[in-house]
Amino acid sequence: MARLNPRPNLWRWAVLAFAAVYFLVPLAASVIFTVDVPGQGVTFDAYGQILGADGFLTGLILSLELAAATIAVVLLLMVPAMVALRLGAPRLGPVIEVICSLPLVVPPIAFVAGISTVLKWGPEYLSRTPLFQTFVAIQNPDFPVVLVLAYVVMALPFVHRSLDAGLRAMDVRTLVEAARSCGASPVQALVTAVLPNLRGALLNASFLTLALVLGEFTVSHLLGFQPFAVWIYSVGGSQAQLSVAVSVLSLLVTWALLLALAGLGGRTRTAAKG
Amino acid sequence: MNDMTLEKAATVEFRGLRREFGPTVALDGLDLDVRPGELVALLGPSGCGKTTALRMLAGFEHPDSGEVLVDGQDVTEVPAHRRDAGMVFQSYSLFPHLSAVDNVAFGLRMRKVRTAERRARAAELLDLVGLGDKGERFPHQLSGGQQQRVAVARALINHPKVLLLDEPLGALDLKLRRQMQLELKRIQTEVGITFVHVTHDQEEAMTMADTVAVMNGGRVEQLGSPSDLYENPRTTFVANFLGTSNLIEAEVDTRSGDGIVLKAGGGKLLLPEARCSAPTTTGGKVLVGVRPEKISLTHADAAGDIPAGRNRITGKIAATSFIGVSTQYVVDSAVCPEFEVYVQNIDRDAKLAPGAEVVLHWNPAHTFGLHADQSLLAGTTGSAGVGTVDDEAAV
Ligand SMILES: Nc1ncnc2c1ncn2[C@@H]1O[C@H](COP(=O)(O)OP(=O)(O)O)[C@@H](O)[C@H]1O
Ligand SMILES: [Mg+2]
Repeated sequence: MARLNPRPNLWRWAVLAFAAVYFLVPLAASVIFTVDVPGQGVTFDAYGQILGADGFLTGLILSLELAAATIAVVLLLMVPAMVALRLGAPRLGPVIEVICSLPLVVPPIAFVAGISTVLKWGPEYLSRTPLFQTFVAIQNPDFPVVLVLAYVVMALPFVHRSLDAGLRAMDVRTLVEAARSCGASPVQALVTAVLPNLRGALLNASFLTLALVLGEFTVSHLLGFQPFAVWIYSVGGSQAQLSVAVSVLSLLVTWALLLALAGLGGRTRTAAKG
Repeated sequence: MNDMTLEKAATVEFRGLRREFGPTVALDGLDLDVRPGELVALLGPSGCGKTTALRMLAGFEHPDSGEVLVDGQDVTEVPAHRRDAGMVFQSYSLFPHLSAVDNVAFGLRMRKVRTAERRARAAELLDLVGLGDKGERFPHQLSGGQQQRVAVARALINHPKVLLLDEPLGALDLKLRRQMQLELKRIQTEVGITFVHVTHDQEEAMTMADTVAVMNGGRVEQLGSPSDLYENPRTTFVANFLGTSNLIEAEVDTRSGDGIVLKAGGGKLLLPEARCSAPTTTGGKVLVGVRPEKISLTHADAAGDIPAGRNRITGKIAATSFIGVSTQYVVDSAVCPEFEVYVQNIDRDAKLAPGAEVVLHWNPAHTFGLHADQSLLAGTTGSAGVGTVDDEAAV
């Protein structure tokens, strides 16, 4: 052991240094590029311009709304389903896992092509039917429900994985039965005995979904909506410095949101204990 | 806890319960009556349907046919959370996110009792199980035995009509298990409600239970007090599963008064008719049983000292093992190849060593008779249907 120890240590630092260079150098370069205008010295003009730019706030808010809706829908769908699966048909687990992983192997471009084909189904003479009106409603640019539906599908692999890990870490059946023998109805048992112990997994699933929605470009762009990622792209095309500043800013925004979510989870945990 | 002793204890009845899981018959027409306020143990080898029976009483499992009655009322269709049955599980089942006192108070929270009141009542119950000072601990900060005590308190808080325990001590080590057996018995006496306790450990069942239901293959094989089952087993399964029995194949010869004379090997054995659960027509076959500790061992040289009127068998000591309070002998004889004899270590006879010719003798009143058409080995460890503790944990 004594002989082996120094070498892994060395490797550890080497890997760390390599990763730091790989991630931090481009980031630092981007930041410097955005704040250092030749001949003028350090200036934060580029960032000021973004905050004032047309569509920044609407894009960001739309993305956040989409993320919130996606998280809500995907969790409401998956949590009861996964718990029921564990209690009722554990043997179906692998089947559901494969189904939930499918979005990883279908390229977004194929996915979006499918969605637009479906959305174009409504021919003119159907324009007065509820089907057609539904199609129109879910494509409302103020809040495109169709994107939420698409994101729910795209988030399935991540949500499934987090929840599965969370459920594996506890004895769901015994907890539910213990709660029921204490007088809890099935729904009460889920809410009072299972969910509180699933907090880590729920948080994790929300994280991943939030990151996914904030960065999603292909589907929203091809369907013609303008959430944050699409807006960044459209701004960036015209001014080089501005576009890089936007990327840096979007990174910071994502990090800030993830930290906020983590902080929220941490606080409720201490509150529950206190 | 005075308010709890006022609870009216409930009867429990299983009526012809049947349940199949695919090809497995878990319960095969189970019938059982539990008297109010009694601690009844469901005892049997792993896989004999004990857990399934208990889960039907709790409402987690539905019978294919048959019914469950609590206090005379059919509860077969009543959902689990309205059954008034507390349950303690084999695996640790406390809610990990709640402190001990909040775990205990959980049942009151479901009944929308105010926080202050439910914490006060939970604290009382924690006192009852001897954990009054550990209320603020979380489950992972408690030992296995402490967690099970909290689980008992949690199951009692809603004043259930019956408390169900599914091998609650199965995961504890032997010493703690002994201690918890007495502890559970004390709690049961104190709260006075009906307990149904599932175990595959015959010693645990005998220590704790007022009545033991020995289960085998999805039905109750014999029901009775621990001493009654031990002294008067009616099947070879019960004779072997509860303690150890020596079984001899014999033939009915004649009658003498209220006893039956049997031929076994070359000799004659006397069996009280009242202790024979088999038909006793002359020439019929009977299995004769006797417990190892009822037998005395005398060296063949001193055979003349044995009082008359005792059942005797001759044989040769094959092995001895000294285990402190007693010495266990294995004796080979013509009627039974491996006769077990336990002799208390009061005055040890140095001549009783392997190879010695001996006479085994016992009071005929300690002999029991069983139907001859059963396996001699039913209920012994290693015979079919008897699994290990690990199997048990997996179910
Ligand atoms: N949910 C189930 N699915 C399939 N088989 C089961 C199930 N529950 C119990 N069994 C089978 O029924 C039999 C009785 O089981 P159980 O009641 O758990 O026995 P015990 O508690 O006495 O060990 C066993 O053979 C077991 O494998
Ligand atoms: Mg069991």
